Amino acid sequence: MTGIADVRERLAEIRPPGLNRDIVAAGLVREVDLREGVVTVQLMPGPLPPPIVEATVADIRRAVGALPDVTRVDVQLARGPAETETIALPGIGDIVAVFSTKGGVGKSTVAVNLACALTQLGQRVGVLDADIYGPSLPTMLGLSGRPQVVEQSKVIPLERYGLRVMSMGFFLDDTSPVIWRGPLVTGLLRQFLKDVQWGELDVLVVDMPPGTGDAQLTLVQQVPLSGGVVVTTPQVVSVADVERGIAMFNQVNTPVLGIVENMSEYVCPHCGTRDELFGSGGAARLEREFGVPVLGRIPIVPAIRASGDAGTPLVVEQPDHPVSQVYTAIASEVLERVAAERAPAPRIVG
Amino acid sequence: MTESPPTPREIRRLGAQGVRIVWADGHTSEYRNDYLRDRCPCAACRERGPRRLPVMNDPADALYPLQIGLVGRYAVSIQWSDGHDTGIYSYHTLRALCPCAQCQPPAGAGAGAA
Repeated sequence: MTGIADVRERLAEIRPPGLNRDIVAAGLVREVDLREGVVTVQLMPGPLPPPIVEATVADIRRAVGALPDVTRVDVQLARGPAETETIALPGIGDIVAVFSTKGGVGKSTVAVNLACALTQLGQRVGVLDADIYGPSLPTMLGLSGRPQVVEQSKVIPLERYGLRVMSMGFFLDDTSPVIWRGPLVTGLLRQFLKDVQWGELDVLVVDMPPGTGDAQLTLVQQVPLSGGVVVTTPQVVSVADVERGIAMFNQVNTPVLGIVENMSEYVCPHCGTRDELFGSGGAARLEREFGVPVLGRIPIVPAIRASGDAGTPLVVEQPDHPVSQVYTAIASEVLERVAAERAPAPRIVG
Repeated sequence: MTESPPTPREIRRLGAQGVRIVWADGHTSEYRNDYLRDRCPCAACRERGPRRLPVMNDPADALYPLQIGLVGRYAVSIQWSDGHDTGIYSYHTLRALCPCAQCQPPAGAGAGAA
């Protein structure tokens, strides 16, 4: 009896001109199936030039057809992405990365409140907590429990306040630290993007891990980001780091939509005195130097911290709060800028 | 940040002849396969130099991109028929490599030093 192994053996003898390996070794054979004498071969022609594809298909038919008991050979031409390639995310309109190059500036707080503000503007919004080392979205949104895994190992995001949410935190115990090497991290992020059933979204807000390392690079390289929102505090050290982040985005042609200056000032709840704890003018300097606009300044208000810890973002809890209104303004600015930046992806043909 | 980065509108494989890119600004670049292959920007090729790349078994006209894929918003990856697939060609690099007379001054000095 002829088996699949025999078919593969035959395929491994086929070497189209131009390839320095056989089609199996070159990874062009995707799937081989044998059922009641009918062999189905999925060939990824890539783009062998058409005449060579034709010749290769003929070679496959001849070589495999010569095996005993094979009555028919079907060769299907497939197309598939390589690992480095952009992950296609159908159904998702715009992907906005909220990032900071320094930790502790309130990036996740900004991401969550921005996402909520976007839903209040009528957008269908998802949030991906890509901060796999220190996922904080579950706490900030008061979410616990594991997402459901449905057929074809698709994961259903959890829902809260009209947001669809996915976070590594859903899969971890509260106490276990995440100690992972770069490749694992990038693999996991790919999976989060590919295997989560987001459904139709207008905007996916990605809460990026702080810094400019592996995980960030994977995201900006492999995800067709519409743009990034930088979060910074006003002091000079924070601002200096942000420059690096902007440089990273520039290198991969991803527009930086704007800067959110967090903790811009402290308003004393007792006497109303304003104090610029972290200095001032940092974001304004970035705006001058890089032409990246300041989308909004968010003061230090105890209510923000409290609402985050309680699991209800301020924008949801007190939509009329002055800070919530700043977020609404930021959200509409983001939508406007994203629409302006929308450039069609190049077509690859031939 | 100020000037907008080069973006292709269409990337077309021309089989054994090469690759043609039509840019968003209307410029058209045509690259021979060996020209692009020799300028592979991956670390291995840069280290070893373009002349010491994995050798083709077949004549030069059998070198062509098996597959071209998008990388984010800034580059393409090219899987070559000689099995090499680690090069990520950023749009910047590709535009700078455009071999047309307009982009490469005809003096001939230092051509291909990229």
